[in-house]
Amino acid sequence: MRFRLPHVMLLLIGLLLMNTVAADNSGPIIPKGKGEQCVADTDFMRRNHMDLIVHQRDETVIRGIRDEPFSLAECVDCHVQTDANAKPIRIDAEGQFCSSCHTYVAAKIDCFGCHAAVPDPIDDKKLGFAPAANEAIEAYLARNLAENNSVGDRSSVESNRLAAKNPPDLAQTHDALRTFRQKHVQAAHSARTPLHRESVLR
Amino acid sequence: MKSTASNSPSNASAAARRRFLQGLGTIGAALVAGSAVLPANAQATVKEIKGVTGKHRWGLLIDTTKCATGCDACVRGCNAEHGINSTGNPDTDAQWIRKIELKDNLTGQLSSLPMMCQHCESAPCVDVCPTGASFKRADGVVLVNKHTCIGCRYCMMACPYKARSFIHEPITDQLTRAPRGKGTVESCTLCVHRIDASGSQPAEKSAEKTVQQPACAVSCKEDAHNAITFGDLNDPDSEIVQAIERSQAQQVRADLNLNTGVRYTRL
Repeated sequence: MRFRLPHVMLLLIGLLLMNTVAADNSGPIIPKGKGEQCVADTDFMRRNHMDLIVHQRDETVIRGIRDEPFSLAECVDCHVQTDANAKPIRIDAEGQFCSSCHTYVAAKIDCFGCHAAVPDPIDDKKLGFAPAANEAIEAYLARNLAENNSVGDRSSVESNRLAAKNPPDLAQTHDALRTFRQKHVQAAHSARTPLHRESVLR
Repeated sequence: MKSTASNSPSNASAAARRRFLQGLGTIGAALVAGSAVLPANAQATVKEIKGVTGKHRWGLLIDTTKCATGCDACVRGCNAEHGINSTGNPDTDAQWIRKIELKDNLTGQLSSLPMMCQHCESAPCVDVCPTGASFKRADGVVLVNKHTCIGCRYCMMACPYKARSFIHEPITDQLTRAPRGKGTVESCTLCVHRIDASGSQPAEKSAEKTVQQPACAVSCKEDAHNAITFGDLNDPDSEIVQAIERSQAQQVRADLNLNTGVRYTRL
């Protein structure tokens, strides 16, 4: 069977229309997090949060770096909701921050099979962690994202072993920061389509 | 020169070879130039490199003369620190530390000691892991990267100390500092989160005194036994190395040449 161009076009237009209609009525309702904004722009976070988290997890497990700004613990800290009794609700529970979007786009996450889905009852600040400053976040992004977008490199067996043996070289320059901005932040700003539409189309 | 039409094909191949070699030369030159430039960049970023290094090697010294028979303070401390609760099936519950009572049949002498991951320098669990999930950190702490652990349990077979546990059932209510979940293997982490938290404090970053003690050592001290000493095995002046030398502390199964990070006095 052969697809001809008009067919494909029609299909695409159809999808686009369906999607627009759906998005108007039933986009995911995402609970708002604490504070004014996330560690990076919302658009950036929508597209790249998974890469940030995966990168951070390798840094933390293999190299013991626990004071960088993109920890899953901080996601939970800010985005967790509380019930009527001021008790925190699991962030992966139905309708909560993680699951609202992930259910909508049918992407399954298994972070919370192991990780705490609510903040610790005991205050972990006594362990010496402090909330990350903006400069720290920018520096981190520049260091880890600018070079070939290494953040997106999912750890295979080999890269896992390599990372354990040779910690990646962290080159941090102003140029890198500029490249990063051009590549990610501005792109995110200029893209007008909300995440859920784009994801459905893909 | 005798350049005739009859050997022109070999000339052509020679030219091709020459071009190839020239290409190699160019690549080589680029590599040399690159490596000459590299150190300058590397120097500029040296300050930025974070994370654990081989400067320290963390370890424990267990004084079995101080360890009390029947006491399980270290086990309780460990369980509380990592959110380890019974799932109702004691046979398969996770044990990061277990208390062992030893009896010398000739003398009748009883001794008691905690057994946990020995944080071997050449760890059998790391050797056998098919995914690289079982690994040794630069500072000598042997860990399971649960993101890549497939739950095959080879490491449990390989470990001479039976130090690892497999999680058979779903776990809820984990603590932020200790992610744990079904289908993965886990063991004593030497409380890495405490070690790392100490490292993230900028002042006196490397001073051993500022490194937080593991939960088992703290619990043991709180129970007034003080049988567990934590410290840097690479530092000849550290309390732990001094104590190991003084007491001629031993490794369990020293014959395996694993160079364990956990040592026992009067074994």
